[in-house]
Amino acid sequence: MSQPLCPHCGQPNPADAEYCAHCGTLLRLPPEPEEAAQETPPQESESGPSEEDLLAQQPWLQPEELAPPPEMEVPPDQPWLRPEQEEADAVRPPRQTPQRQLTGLQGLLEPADLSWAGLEPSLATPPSPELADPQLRELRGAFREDVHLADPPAQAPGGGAALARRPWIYWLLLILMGGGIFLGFPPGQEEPHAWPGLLEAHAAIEALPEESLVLVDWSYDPATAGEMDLVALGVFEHLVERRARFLVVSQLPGGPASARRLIQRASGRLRGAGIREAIPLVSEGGYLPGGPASLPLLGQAPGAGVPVNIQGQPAQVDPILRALQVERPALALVVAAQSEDVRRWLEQVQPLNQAPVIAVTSAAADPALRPYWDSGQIQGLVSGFDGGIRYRQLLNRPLLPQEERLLGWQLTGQGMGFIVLVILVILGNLAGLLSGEEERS
Amino acid sequence: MTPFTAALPPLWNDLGVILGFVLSLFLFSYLLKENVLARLAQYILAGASLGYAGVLIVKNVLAPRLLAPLLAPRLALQIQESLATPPLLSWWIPLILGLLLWLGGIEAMRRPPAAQGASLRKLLRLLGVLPVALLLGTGLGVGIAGAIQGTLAPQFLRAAALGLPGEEVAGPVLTGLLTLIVTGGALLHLRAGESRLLQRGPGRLLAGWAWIGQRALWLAAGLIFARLLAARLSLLIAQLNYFATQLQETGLWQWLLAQLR
Amino acid sequence: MFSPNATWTNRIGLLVATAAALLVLVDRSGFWPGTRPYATLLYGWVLLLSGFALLLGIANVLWVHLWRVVKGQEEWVLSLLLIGVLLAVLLLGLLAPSGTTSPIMEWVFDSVIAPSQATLFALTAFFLMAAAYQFLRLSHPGGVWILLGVFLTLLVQTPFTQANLPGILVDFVDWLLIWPVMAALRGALLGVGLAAVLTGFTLYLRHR
Repeated sequence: MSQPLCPHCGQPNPADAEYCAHCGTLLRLPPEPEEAAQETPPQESESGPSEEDLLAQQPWLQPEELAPPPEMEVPPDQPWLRPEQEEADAVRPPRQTPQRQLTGLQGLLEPADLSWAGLEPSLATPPSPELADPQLRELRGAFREDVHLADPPAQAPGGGAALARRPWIYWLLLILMGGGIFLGFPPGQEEPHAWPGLLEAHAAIEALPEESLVLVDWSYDPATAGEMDLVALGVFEHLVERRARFLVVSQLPGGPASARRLIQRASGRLRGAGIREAIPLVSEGGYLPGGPASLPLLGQAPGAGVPVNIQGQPAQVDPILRALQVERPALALVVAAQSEDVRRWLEQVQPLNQAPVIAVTSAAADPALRPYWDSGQIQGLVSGFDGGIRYRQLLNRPLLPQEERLLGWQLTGQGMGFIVLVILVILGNLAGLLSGEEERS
Repeated sequence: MTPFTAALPPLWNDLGVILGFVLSLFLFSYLLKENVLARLAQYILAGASLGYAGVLIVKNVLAPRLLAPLLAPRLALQIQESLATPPLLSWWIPLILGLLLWLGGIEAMRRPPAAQGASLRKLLRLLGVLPVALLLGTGLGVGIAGAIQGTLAPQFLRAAALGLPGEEVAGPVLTGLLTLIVTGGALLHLRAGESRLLQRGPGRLLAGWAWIGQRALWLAAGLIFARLLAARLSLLIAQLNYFATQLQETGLWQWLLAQLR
Repeated sequence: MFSPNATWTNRIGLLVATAAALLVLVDRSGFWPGTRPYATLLYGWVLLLSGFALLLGIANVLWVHLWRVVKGQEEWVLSLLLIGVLLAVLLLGLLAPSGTTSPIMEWVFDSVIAPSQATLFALTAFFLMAAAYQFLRLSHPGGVWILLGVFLTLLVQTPFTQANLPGILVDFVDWLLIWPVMAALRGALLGVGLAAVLTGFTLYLRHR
């Protein structure tokens, strides 16, 4: 049997796979009825285009990536794995079309498949003849979304394709950053930059009347807590101080527990600063699965979206849940490590409940949210370590010793990270020059 | 450890600190080389995360929202106040659909030979399609409606408002026009940047517009990279801080110093 | 409406999906307020069904690893470990009356999940630096523009360099972020939004 090759990455896949197991590209597109009746290229096998076709359509594919896949062994006790055993209704006539993926910066960001966006006609046009195959391979490699780590740096620097494992870079970063933090160099400046949107977020929370109802979407978990705790802590301190009543929900399994810890820290800090009444008025709505398809519940019928809190108590027992059924939230706070989660809220909840939104996000999410900030859909935006530190400075409260240490490390570490990046960019460009990369410019 | 584990014996907390530290070291060792300790920690993390998610779904989603109202009519009545639909629709149908989803899914996992029980297979498959179709259809509907209401309409209106002089314009008219040009150029580049239509005749003017959009997108990519770097460096610094704290808490620091002496 | 070679399974699925999508679209359009309770009901179903689907996913992972153990495939010992940890956490959590808020589950979260996830993500800083070495080059397409964006932003966001920058440069980077970069990303956003709507319709038409 032949296994279809992925038109994007060239890897073999099981015959019945819908999506490539290596890069996620859609492998099969059912033919339009007319097409199915008219066009069946004789050389194209049922499981996809032949190797020659793929190379003709996409000459930038590495020949070794198109090497014939090893025959899949079918165990004798699993005869159903043989394709001929598949039932007729389970087999749709496969047709592979070259997929086009718009990826982020050389695979560092989420890829977006544009093949369905009406771009197929331009795909049919061969790549620009000015670019030779090796260059196209380079481009394709640079924009592939799956970052492979190969133990030996098999390619020459700048050789395109996969991101090679380079232990010397890891050690350089680790040693310089560790050394910088240990020696306190570069010195951390007290006031990092306040990006636009931060002061507006502070003003919006400051203007909240006491005991305002705030709906919180908690979209980060321990994976990004190292940065996000830093950003969100000041905002939650402020909310607790303003005696806001908040309901916290999350669409991540690790979200509710992360929220519990941070809110506990925020109120602990306030009590440590002598604000005795800093008991958070919080109700935990817990985990809401379903992604964007269940989010509209929070906008149009929060009572149905969160009928009970995480302890299983209904609205009759939980006053915040009850309040949410009769009054519109004064504010929605989206605490997210990715811009996608904020966008989801703005698309699925805000049009329904019209509550103003403040986004508390990772630095990485900030630029992608700027259009929403500009259009007024986001009222305030606090992002990154700099946003978090500046927000806490606005609260004008002394830091605990261990917090002071962590903030000092952040300020110094960011400086050292910048120095390492400058070194690496210079070395990378030199390596590119030495290997003749400038010809490809 | 956090105050949420205070009810456990102190030994558990000590054990937790050491376990977390050791697992973190194992994972960090991936930097040196792909090794079995790093993979061991990954498998433990995957197992624990999946188990935790399973508990969360059962205890936080299915039990209180579905099973409890079905088993305890009084609770059902309380929750019913916030719903406008009868219990059959609110709970029984999703329960049945959920069970169908499981049966269909298990059938797909089991993959029995076609000769045995083919008709039952078909029936299970048919019934399993219903909940899947419901999920897909709803996802499709909210995706389209949300994109229009939350992104396309407000962003388009804002972009259009920036191009017109008047009260809507937040900055100077020139900035508004520049913004409109860049937005249009970026959209044009993404949509038709490689089209041959832009390579001849009046299309060349559009090509110039797309050229501006492409440069702006490159600049934006650089900016995103820099902010992404800040985000990831923050995570690394927080982790280094965690290692330093744990070295002190576990007493490993003193032990290491003693060994060095 | 249907493709001639569509099976009954496909036709029923398509009908159900179409009905669900139409209900959502009509409800969100606001033209027919009477649909609101039914749309709410539908979202509630989706929430519960997603719970069922996630449990099925967990069962699938268990099944795959069990298969690896039974067949003695590579790293079967690690698969066995995964199964053991998964079942242990699952049983502990299900037996604990307060589920994930019980002390034992909080302990699992604090001592296994939180530190391990945080470490895994901290590693990405190293990979990002390696990517910068490999890809941030003047000779790459758009390299000059990308590097310009990177360094201007870094100069402003890094505390010790920002302190020594002239105010006009800091203001310029703020301006870059909230005008041209915002405008370019709005173009991308509109492109993606249009594509999302087109995808919806294309998927629907293709699966007839």
